[in-house]
Amino acid sequence: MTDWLLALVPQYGLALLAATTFLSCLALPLPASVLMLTAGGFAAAGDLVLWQVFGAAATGGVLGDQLGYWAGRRYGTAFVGRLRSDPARDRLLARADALIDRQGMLAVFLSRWLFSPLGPWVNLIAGSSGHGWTRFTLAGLAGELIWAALYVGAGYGFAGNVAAASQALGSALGLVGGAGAVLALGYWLFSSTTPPAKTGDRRRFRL
Amino acid sequence: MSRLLSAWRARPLLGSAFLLACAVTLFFAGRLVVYTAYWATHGEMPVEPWMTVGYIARSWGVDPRALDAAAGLPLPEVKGRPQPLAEIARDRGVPVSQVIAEVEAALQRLRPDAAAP
Repeated sequence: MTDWLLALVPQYGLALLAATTFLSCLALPLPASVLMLTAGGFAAAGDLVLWQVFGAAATGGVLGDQLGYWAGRRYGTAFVGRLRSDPARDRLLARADALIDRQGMLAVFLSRWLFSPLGPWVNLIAGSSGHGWTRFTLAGLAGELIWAALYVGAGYGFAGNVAAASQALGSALGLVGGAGAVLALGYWLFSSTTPPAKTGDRRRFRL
Repeated sequence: MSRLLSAWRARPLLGSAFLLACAVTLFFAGRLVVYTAYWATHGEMPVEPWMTVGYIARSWGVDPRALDAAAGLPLPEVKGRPQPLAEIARDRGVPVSQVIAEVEAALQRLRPDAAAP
């Protein structure tokens, strides 16, 4: 199916790309990342125009997020409840819920590109839990721009070598995620074990 | 180092998570370096039915029009847009493997230094 989709890129490139990123933001299992990498490669070859490819991918993603958010808002808890009957989906939804609870905007932003499997579920939960639309849209837009830029840019940079681009990008994202965890955990570990001036209220956070 | 050790003793679970995160980060950093080094010298993609001549030419570092001429393929102007090899084969009524073989032979002539596609 992926090969069949890819053969349509030179002819229907931008519309196809926007439709794929749109649908993938609704948790449909489409190879959006492969398509973005390949479209970036077609742009490098001169068959497509780079900024148009980027624009199409980002637009599809942003519109998909909006649909997910409004579906969550409109059909809210009943809809989420039905989705949670599947245990695998329930786990993803629970993680998305916890993420939004703690750090709304950051969760929306990071679930666009760094933890993208969570993205569609964060949309639903953001909508159903009444997370503000402006904040959701701003964080979502910033995240989608990075998502599109990373994948289209990697496809362009690696001249359409999808395997090379996805391996490099996967490693780079793993590196970013790991470094983020090192910083956060390091801060938590060292800031609370340095000679404490006031230990009293810090003790709550002990692991 | 001694600070890390005392921090780890005070909170073994958090300290272990920190060390694990360090290990994961190093792993991905190493993976990135290895892949980058590998792909810097193995950039050429095997020819696939969904690729256009421009796409293949870019991956193999050859001039797309030279590849068109060498493989006897239609120029993009024929349909006003680039065509994937699968479409070219369909229009000719031949199996796509035949078109791929022609392109591979042309690549061998244009890039005798590269490994066979």
